[in-house]
Amino acid sequence: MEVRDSSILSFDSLEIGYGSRNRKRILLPPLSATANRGELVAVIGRNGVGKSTLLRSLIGLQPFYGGNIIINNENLSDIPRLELARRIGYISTEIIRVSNMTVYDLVALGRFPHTNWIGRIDNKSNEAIANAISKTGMSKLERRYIVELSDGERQRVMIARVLAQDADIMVMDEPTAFLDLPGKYEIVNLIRNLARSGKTIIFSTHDINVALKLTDRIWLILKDRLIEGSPDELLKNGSLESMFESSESGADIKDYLKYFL
Amino acid sequence: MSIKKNDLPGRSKPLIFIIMGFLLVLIFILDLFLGSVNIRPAEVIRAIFRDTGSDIETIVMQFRLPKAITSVFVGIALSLSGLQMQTIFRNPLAGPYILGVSSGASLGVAIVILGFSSGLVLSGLQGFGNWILVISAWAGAGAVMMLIMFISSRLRDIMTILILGIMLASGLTAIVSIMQYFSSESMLKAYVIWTMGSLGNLSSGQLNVLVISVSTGIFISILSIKRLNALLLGENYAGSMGLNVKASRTIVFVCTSILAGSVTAFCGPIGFIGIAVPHIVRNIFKTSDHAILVPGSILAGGIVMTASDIVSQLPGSESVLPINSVTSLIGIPVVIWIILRNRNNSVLF
Repeated sequence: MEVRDSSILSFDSLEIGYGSRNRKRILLPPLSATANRGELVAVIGRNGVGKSTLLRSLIGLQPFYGGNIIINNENLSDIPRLELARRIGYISTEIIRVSNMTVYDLVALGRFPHTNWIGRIDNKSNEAIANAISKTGMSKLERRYIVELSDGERQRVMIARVLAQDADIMVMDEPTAFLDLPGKYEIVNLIRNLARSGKTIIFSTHDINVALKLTDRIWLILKDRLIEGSPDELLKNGSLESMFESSESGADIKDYLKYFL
Repeated sequence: MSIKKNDLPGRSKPLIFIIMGFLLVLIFILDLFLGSVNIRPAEVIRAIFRDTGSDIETIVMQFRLPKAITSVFVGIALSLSGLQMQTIFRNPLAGPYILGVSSGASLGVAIVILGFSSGLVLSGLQGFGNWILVISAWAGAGAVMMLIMFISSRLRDIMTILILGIMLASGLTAIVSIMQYFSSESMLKAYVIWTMGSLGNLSSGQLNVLVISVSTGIFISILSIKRLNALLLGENYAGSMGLNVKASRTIVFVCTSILAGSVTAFCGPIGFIGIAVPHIVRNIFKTSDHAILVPGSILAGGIVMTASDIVSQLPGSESVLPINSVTSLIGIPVVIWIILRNRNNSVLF
């Protein structure tokens, strides 16, 4: 696959799945796609198709069984653990509930790949933490305990943690899953602004509205392939419709998708 | 705890540490002064610093001082192992006693004493025998740790894991009982003497082994502060931030097995200190940061265990309470408080 200069993350013939060497289960045929610097990329697809597995493979949490992942022109498997954490950060769907942990404490954990053996927060780290907290609009809540936060605020703190990690790429698994409508748009706006400021953000979502209107690129995962393109391209060439092929209400959804054209 | 949330600005933390350090010294000295025989404080001090050869010196130097040192190290070991187990299992009810790690260590000891020649432990090989005893306790504790980890990777519900831990502890105790039934009289005698072990029965050789082992555990715990903090968020997040999760898990396993196993090897299973002290420390300092919790648990563990020892002596009276009943009465209210707070499983620690 041709890798353009602006490509910050790409994968080629990637075989994702899980299990041990002997009993591995490969979820999808080999996948290829690219994300460019500063792009907001939505990963969409039906439940259980392998979105989370793909995202986990991209950050090195899940072994993959074929192909390769290139980050900053370097093969993922050649990048040491800590160095990888300085390049790519991750937010899963798991909700963190630790009592007696403040917003500051949680964001400070993002400095893990930058601090010394005991995790000392030096001036540089402190500045990065303060910056991350202010960029996510959480400055007033800095000393609050995370168990007291709303779902939206907690998601902001998780984003601040990844910002403090100072990675150029952020991978998020359904960052808007638990949020109400206003909360959802606040978070999407936040990550869109972060993308505008130069971060590359790859996130999975079930919200077609968000994916079509607000992102730069979509990775559409179907059962037999990954289709990549801008929202417009996917709408015009009818790729999105194939996501609903097996669905009973397929026809209605095709009508619905026309509104985005 | 009377301290309200957010009442505690960060700068008062050194003050709390100073107070706790002072308390530990105070309680340690009290432990030397108080006992079933009434000895005036001045005489206790003279016995420590002067070679008088009196009975008082024997009581203070042979019994009270080793017992006080044992209490401090046992308290530290149990609290630090409880703290690390709670973090790695992300389970507020984890502790070496309640999840059967202490029983695993007991089984390790039972296998050595009942399974092999009792002479091995009791004979002239004393110093070497102590190390065999303690290493077998580590192995037993480590095996249970791995089993619990295996279970908790499949079951997330903390109550279920707790029940399984209690079952495991009962099962291990049953195995030990069966081994007792089939063992010879001399082996049984050696084992029964071991089970009666308390804070006061350690030989100087055993105390040395305990101090060396627990100090190693403290050292590893301090080196683990950063990785324990990352593990608070779970293995996925910790891994995504650059932590080598497998290696960290192994280090925490080895450390907790050394800490809990050493205590069990020489003092028998002591309950509820490991589960209760970390929660007391979290609520005193209002933090989840292990840079505070590790030293806090060291101080609080020493304080609580030594205080329990003083209470178990029933100062001034001839009788002595079993140390386990005192620690249970201190620890169980804390456990009940955690269970009530966790009804809906909403808060992890």
